[in-house]
Amino acid sequence: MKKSTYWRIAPFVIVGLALLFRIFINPADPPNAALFIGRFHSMIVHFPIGLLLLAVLLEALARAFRIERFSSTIKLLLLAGAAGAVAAVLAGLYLEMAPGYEADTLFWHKRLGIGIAILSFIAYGVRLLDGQPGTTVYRVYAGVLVVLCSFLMVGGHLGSVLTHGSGYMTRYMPQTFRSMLGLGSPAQGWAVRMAAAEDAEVYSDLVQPILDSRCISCHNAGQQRGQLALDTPEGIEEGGGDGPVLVAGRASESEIMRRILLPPDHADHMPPEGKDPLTVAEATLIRWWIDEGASFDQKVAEVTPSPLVEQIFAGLELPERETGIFALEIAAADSAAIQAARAAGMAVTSLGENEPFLQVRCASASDCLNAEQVAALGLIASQVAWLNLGRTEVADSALAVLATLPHLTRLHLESTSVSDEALVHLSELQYLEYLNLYDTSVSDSSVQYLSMLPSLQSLFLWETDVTSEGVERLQQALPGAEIVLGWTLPSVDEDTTSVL
Amino acid sequence: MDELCDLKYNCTRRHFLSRTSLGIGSAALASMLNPLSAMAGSRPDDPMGGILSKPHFTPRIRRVIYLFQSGGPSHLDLFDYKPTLARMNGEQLPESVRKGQRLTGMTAHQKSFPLAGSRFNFSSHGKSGRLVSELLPYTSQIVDELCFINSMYTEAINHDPAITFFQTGSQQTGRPSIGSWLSYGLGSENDNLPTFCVLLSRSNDFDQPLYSRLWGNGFLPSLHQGVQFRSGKDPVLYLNNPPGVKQPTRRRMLDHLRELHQRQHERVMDPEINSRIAQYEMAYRMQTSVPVTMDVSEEPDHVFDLYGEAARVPGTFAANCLLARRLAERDVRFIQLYHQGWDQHANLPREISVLAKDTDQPSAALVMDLKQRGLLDDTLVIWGGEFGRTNYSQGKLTADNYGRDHHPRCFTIWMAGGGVKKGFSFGQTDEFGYNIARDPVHVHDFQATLLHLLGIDHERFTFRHQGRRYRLTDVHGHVVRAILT
Repeated sequence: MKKSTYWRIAPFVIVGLALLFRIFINPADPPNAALFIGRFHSMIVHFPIGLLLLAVLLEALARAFRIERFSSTIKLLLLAGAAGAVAAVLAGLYLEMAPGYEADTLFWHKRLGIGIAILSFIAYGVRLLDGQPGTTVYRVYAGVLVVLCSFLMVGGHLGSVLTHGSGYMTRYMPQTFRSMLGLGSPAQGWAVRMAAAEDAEVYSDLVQPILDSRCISCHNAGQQRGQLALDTPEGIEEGGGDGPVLVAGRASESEIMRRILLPPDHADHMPPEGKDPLTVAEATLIRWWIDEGASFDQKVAEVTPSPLVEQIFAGLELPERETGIFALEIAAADSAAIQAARAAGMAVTSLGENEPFLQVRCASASDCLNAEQVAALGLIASQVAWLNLGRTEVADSALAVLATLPHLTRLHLESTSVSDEALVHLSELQYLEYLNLYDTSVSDSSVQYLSMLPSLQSLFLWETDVTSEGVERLQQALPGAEIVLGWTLPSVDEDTTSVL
Repeated sequence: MDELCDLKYNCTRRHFLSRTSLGIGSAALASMLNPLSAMAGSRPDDPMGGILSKPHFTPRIRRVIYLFQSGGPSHLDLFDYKPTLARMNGEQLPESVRKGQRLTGMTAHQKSFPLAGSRFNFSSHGKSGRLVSELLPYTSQIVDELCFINSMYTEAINHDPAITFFQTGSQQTGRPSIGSWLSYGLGSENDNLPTFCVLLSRSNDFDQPLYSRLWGNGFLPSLHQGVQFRSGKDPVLYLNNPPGVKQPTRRRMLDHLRELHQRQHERVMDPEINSRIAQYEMAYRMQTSVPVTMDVSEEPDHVFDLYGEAARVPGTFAANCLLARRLAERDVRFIQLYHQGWDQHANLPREISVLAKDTDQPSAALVMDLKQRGLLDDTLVIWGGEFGRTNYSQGKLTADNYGRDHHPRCFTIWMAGGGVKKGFSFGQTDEFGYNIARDPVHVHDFQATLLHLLGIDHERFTFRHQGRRYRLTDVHGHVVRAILT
């Protein structure tokens, strides 16, 4: 046989062998060997891509610089590329037998892959004819190579979409290019939203992002498969063709949970075969939301997390939210000012390494808030957060300095001679959370000043002259505050136990 | 050179410089101008402060009252309701539950391990609906203030290692107690009382002993060791002047003694000398402050109604709870109570009733008293022992009597105060009350959480000793964030 005959027979041998491999396998029940070979698809597929692109490159060089000796190399590359393409297609067909690939993308990837295999044989065949520039054969050959290249690009890209997901290439693309492609800023998953949201809500920051990424491509107002739309609260409440999608408060009786938790190959499983099932975290969060009442406006902070949800949140390593004065930007106190306050007889300590705030108390009970100390406090006025004047002989007149400490959150005045009138100095303290007036002579006339403290959470009025009527008025003005008036423990009979 | 000096003398840089460049004279002058700065364990720039000039983060509490229930209170008869045990009363502990776990030498030889349901009824209390045994009628009234941890566990199975583990983070002796760590790290907020005070009480005279090393300073400067307050004439031993010695004489003696000490310190630079000077000065101030603190005669009657009449009897748990409140008012940072007697190997129903009666009302009273005075917001009260007790009877199980052996695998403690959730229960044991079913909390986790509440990152709070850094939590411990507010 002539050498050129081998060149002509080779393609038929390759295709024949390939068909043999394909014919005896039942795609509905693939043997493990086929699935095993299938996994080599993503490795094999790079050979034909490389070989065919190299062939095209050499062809371009050969034409541009009229290099004749590339001719047989190009033929060999095209033939090898075609053989590789057949092998890749074959492995791909095996791989497809395992479920889990997004159907639309797979449809086009598969057809482009087969197309590449066919086109590379055609290119090889036409190349054997050695058409010269200007001839029809040459034009056909050049056209086939151009189409082949575009198939390689598109098919390869779809392959990456199947493996890595659709946002893979654009995820970190600069926004300028994203905009050119008509993409907005990357859709934020629940994890990102949870970390970023100041005051995350269970539905809009956790549940809806999960539904958005997993469900609404089929279940939206436009395309209501199963007459179900999950893109809005109304749609969720309305349910689908099979009835309500959830039972608020009872995830275990909710259709959506049943569908999510079915075995993946069950006909009713959602998302349907070919799409990835929900992750454990996603399913857990939806379940938690339903169990907690499936509310559409509850904040994450308002709901007790189940242990698993807690674990999910712990994994997010959420930054701790700062509230009250800790959310403010306050410069640290001058260390000379702190020294001055200490020298004046006050104990001054920091509230934390990264906090500008200070706690302050009088070192001596008898000489608390003297003129020197008041002056020293003026220099650290923005930083004083906790002030302990309890059990001292602090004079009423000195308490005027309290009005100049805007960031005070805790104030001890217990067992002092503080009067009702002196409390007027507190009325501007919008961050004051804790106020201890136990064992003082304040009375109902202090209520007018105490009512003006918007942040007050704990107020101690045991052993004062404030009457229960006064407390009632105060409680109305400060519904969130706990007002403590002292306790007795009702005594218990000596013999309460069943033994003895 | 500095490193070498540190290693050899553990002296401060300031000390080193003043000694080498300026000499003894200036150091002596400095200490005369500011006597406090010469003390060991305090930083020259802030005499009140501990070694951590700033807490790692904003603290939730400033002081701790630890009501240690020594002996191992039975979680099954006090807090952890297990109807399965009552139903299976007398049946053998299934091997599937015990799983070959070790027992103490006291019951390992037993041929039979009959499950013993609690003889005491449980009922739910408060808005939180917490189940508590009828043994604790007062604690039952305050459950909405408490945070229960049902799933504590420890590694030790006998008293001393288990208590040592709780107090120092190690079963081996020789490490500093929690209170010493806090004294070292956070310093004192009261110049006239020790930072770490210890009060002991007991329900019977035959119980396991406690050793003073449990409140020892370990390798920290001895200034930080706990000071035991006793009932009786001399609350702190050897504090009062000997007969015939008057206060001015005492003062002069101390001044001269200090001079001698300082001279010695300039020569050998042993920080323990500074510690000693500080202790003498503290003792001198305590001569006035301690009698005032211990004198409860001016407490009004309603206080004794709250804590119970036993609070009038010095040395009882009730009296110690009242003293704990008085120490807390005076900003003592760590107040450690021990109540001995919870070791009911036999005759549990009878004996535990005595223990419960002695401790129930004062514990509840302390929490509520702190609350009404506004102190609970920045105090943490802890109630718990070193381990739990077995679900099977030690010795013979009869219709109305049983005993329980040590059980380290699960037990209940409670906390109350700033930074922890109220009316909250964390963790769960299995239906036999033998193993933990959910959310185990190890002793090191407990310690890490305690430090966290005080503004300390337990992994960054170390002391270098014998060539390596030591922590209260050794190399373990996770903050139990679920119980924090």
